[in-house]
Amino acid sequence: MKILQLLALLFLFISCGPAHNDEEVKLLYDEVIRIHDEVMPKISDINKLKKRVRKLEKNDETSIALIKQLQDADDAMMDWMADFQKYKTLADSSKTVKMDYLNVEKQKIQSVSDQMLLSIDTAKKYLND
Amino acid sequence: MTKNILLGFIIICSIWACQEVPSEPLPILGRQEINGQDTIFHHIPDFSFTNQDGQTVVNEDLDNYLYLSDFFFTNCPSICPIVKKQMLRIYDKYENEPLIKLVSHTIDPKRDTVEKLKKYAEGLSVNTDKWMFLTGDKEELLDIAEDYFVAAYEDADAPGGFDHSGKIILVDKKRHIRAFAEGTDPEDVTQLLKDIDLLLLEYGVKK
Repeated sequence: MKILQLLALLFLFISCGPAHNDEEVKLLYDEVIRIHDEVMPKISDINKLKKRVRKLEKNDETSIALIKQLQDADDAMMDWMADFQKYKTLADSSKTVKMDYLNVEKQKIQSVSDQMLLSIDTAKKYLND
Repeated sequence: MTKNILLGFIIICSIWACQEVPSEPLPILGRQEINGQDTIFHHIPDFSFTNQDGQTVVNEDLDNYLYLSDFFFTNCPSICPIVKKQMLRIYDKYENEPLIKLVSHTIDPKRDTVEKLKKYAEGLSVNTDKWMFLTGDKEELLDIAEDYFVAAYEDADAPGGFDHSGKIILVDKKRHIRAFAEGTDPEDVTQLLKDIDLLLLEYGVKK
């Protein structure tokens, strides 16, 4: 009877093991996507701000640099998303490979997010919003 | 004479009685401007984009249709794949209804070229006469997105903080927005399907 219980316990551990691994990967993946989803709608804000700065027709160094800053932030997000498609090719990779990849991507998307928010902030200050 | 009037009255009454109780027609959404005596309703402005076959698509191409509009891009990691499923649901329901079209705009024209859109459509196995995929100038695409989403802004509880990227918008023959749904919410899309039926009824098509 005891052996049976032990076996059952062992079976439980074995069957729970891989699921737990995937869970950790899933949590990290969700975190990466959450950072992305939070800032993604601001792409339309960037577009609007860019147009407003352009409309001032100042064409001075500051406004040209500002438009570029907004454009670069937009590009950074679009580039990141295109790049992140690589994750799909890791479907059969080990947990370590996936976790390593996602940890790097988390840093990257966080920095894209910062870049976007900074460009929006800078533009708003420039436009006295 | 009195007989004729009576007969006419009876005929009118019976026609009346035969009709189903009509539902309230769908409202016209978005900002309204009052210009003298006229009310000008928000409408989708002129556009010119390129479809998955490299052909130019302008408003006039959609003038005789009711269409569902959404925004996506092929590299989209989170929201678009969910919305795509709901667009497919709409496509499946109205595949044989000639009055309905679906129009998906990319917001990543740099990567979503004509060829890429063509492949994407092929991957979905849809008839591109029915469901077209448009690309063009990025700013023009983002600008027109604002015109489509304007109805959704007014619906937002939190001004400025509203995520509108997954909306599916229903447009009538006069370029007016008549309904919209959150494309990530299947129940909301179920309501949209009812709204589409209602709009079809307005154009004499009974589902």
